[in-house]
Amino acid sequence: MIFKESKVLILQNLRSTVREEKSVKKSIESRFFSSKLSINQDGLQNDFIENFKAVSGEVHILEKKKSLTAKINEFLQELDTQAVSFWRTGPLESLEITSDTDPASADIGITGVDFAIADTGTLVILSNTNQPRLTSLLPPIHIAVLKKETIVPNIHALFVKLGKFYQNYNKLCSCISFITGPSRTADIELNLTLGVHGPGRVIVIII
Amino acid sequence: MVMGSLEKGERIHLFISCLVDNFFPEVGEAILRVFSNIGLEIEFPKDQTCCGQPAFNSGHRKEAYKVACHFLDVFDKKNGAIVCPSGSCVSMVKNYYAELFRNDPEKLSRVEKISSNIYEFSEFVFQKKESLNLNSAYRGKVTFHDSCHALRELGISSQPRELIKSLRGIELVEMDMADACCGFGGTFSIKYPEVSKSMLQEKTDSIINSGADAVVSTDMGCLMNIKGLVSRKKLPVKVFHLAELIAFEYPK
Amino acid sequence: MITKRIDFKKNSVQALANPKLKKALVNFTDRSRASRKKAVSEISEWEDLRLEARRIKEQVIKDLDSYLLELEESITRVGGKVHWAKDAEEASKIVATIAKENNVRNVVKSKSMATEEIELNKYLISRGINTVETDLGEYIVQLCNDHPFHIITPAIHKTKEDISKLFSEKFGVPEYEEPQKLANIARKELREKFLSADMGISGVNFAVAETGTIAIVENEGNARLATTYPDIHVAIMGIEKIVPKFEQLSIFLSLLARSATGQKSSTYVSLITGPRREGERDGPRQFHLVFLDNGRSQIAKSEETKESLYCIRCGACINICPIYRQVGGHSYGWVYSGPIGAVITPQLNDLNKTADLPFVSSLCGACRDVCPVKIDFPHVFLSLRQKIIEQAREKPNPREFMEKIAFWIWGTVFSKPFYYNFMGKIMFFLQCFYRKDNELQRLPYPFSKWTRDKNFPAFSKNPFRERWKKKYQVKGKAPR
Repeated sequence: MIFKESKVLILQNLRSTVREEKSVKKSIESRFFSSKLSINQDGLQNDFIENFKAVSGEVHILEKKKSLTAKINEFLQELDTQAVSFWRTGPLESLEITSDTDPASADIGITGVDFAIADTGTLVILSNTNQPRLTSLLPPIHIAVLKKETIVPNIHALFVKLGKFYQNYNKLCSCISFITGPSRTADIELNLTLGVHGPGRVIVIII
Repeated sequence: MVMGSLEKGERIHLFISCLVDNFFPEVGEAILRVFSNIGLEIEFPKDQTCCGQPAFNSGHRKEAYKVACHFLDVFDKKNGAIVCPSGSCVSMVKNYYAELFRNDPEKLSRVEKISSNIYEFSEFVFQKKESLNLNSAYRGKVTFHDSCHALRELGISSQPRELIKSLRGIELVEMDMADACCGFGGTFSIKYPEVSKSMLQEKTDSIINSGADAVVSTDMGCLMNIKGLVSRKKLPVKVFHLAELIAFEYPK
Repeated sequence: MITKRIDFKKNSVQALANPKLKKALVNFTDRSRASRKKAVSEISEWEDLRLEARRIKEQVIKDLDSYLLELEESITRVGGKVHWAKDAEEASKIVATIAKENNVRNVVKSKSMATEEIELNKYLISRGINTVETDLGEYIVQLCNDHPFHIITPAIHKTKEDISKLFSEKFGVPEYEEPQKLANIARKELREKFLSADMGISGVNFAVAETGTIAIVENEGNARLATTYPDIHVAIMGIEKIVPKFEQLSIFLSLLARSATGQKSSTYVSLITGPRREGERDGPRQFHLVFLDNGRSQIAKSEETKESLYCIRCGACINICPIYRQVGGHSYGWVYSGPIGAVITPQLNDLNKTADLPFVSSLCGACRDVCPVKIDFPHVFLSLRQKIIEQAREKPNPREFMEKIAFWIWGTVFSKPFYYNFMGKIMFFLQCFYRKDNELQRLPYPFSKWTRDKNFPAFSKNPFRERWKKKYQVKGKAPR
């Protein structure tokens, strides 16, 4: 349904506002984006771990000799499930897991991570044909595989990275998801409860 | 005038505020004792009434305008600082006269001059504290209530506390939520007395729970409100304007 | 839209009489104040962020027309569709039409104040479309036919006993009291709704004009579900929600999470740019964005109060407000409560029916101090009060008439020193009927409103001006 007159009316109303001059839309020079990117990835990793744990997230660092498949199989064994839904991109490409279930019926969703933010403990995931959104959302447990070098210091630095990644945002993906720990609510007398809609456990494996 | 330095016999103009004038003249006298002790020459412009805030805050701008014009007439020819024992009145002049007189360029320029020259009592005395040599006769624990306008519109928070701490024999204890409104809000307390009372109840609870035997503030609006409930309920706490505490004398 | 006059006094008296509510409010406001304070103190650039956000919002509202057109263009470019709605009726119609055209039976909704404002649920349900709120708090509120109590935490007025009884009645489960168990029940019930929904409706926290991206901020994941699983996603935004540039989101996201819940980041932020792309396995196939005006373009015209549109709905002003702490959200009579409700409700509705609200403030300014976009609440309150008084002058009711007369007398007396002195003397004599121990304990109406709970000071026989004259004026200065 289109209300053509409404558009005209709203714009008319807005145009009749008093203005000193037609302001020039200039891009915002913001000091926040110039915040120096720390090159110390170890420090960033530690910050990320601390902050992610503070929001009830779980973090494991992949041991040097162990393969990702072995590590994940350990989790599957521990959780006693084979109903897994996973991406087949990046480090997950070589994952040897027999079953791949629809996210709606999986117990565990395994995804990669595109970026992570150290000072908020946030995972950033971009959607695309190989990276469906529901894998990190529907199963009660989400395992996220994070490459250490993709951790950025803060949210402003993240947007700088996204800007470069997307060459000034011309072709943004359909959905960028920020995930900071498991799904939570405090709607019942301010009591913290986890997993109300999204995963109740989020396990990050840093490689 | 340069704040902080004291010229001999520096002259200040006292804007006493309508509440102190009519209801709490003893606060005015305490202020005189403090200023004399500092060595200031005090002038009290006798035609003063009110800054106009009650009407302004209630939406009655025409009446506020009338009273504010009178304020300008009384005070704008004065050289030297204007000092007032109420942050609320000072904020009215400093922050809201510009809005009240926005269509009146001639008055605006007078407002500008006055605004830069008007001080709340505690910020003024704090600047002169080196010259203050007064021993309060009060002994005990006091707690400080931040009056909203002094705190949030004039940024006054540490000055009155420092002054209290510098008084010998007086201990400052902080109450819970010292910066929460006491529920006065001018006509708000008449328009919504039930809500106002509930806020005041929390404030007096905080005061009592602090363990202090007196509550001190810098604005007679808040103090009139707090005192109202304290004396109605016969609560075991005294209520002072900061000036009264500094210049406290044993009754003769 | 509000049809009946909001009677704040009546509502607040009712709320004050409920001790359970008071307890919940004190608990809630104490905790949210403390967590906000902590979160804000963690980053050194907080004040800079606020200033920058304020500056961006000023720019947006000033040029809102061109930003809206830019956003429409961007949304269209990425395959979405924009609809313009001048009021609640139109917005609801637009959503219902999209639903009808696509044979939608089941709708899942994530939390959105704009849809509360237009009462979208009622509209859709009355047209046979099942519409379910999926935010846990909103779901609870919907199950008991109530209204949200707070824009961030809608059900804080319900105890876990209330909720456990409610769930037991509705779903035939035992009366669990552990919040985690209650949340699990809701998860199960709502998961089914998600999996059978054909349309998801969401609000919008920020919409980026340059890229056509909408940002949705939440903690539960229900908004992610509602905007990912169903085939159609309809988002409804107040036209003020625009942010010009994509990178500016980082400023607003930092401010919002810390101000709203004291989190460094909300659990989920979704930046959605159009429907699913070709080859993608999930995400909606259609994306619609409804621009809701509903009075906003009128506010943008008002130099004095347009800053009300800078609001990012974080609720910090509500959590800090000493009045909200006493009376809670429902007293404000509409979907927005606390200081932001008291300034926005009268501007989005008939001012005559909402004239109580701008006076619901002691002008303490605590809201201004915490506002992430530095809305000068006292200034807006004062402007609205002036407007109400000046409008009321045309046909005032008896109470307003009395107030008008009272201030007229006040203005006359206080602008003439002679009258002022004279008044002091008269009052001193008049009060002798009421005076006791130098205080007034029972005054006639309207001052009885004061003296019902507390004493009023007596006019002094020797006001300061007299004392000054007698003691000091001769000398010209006070004695050393």
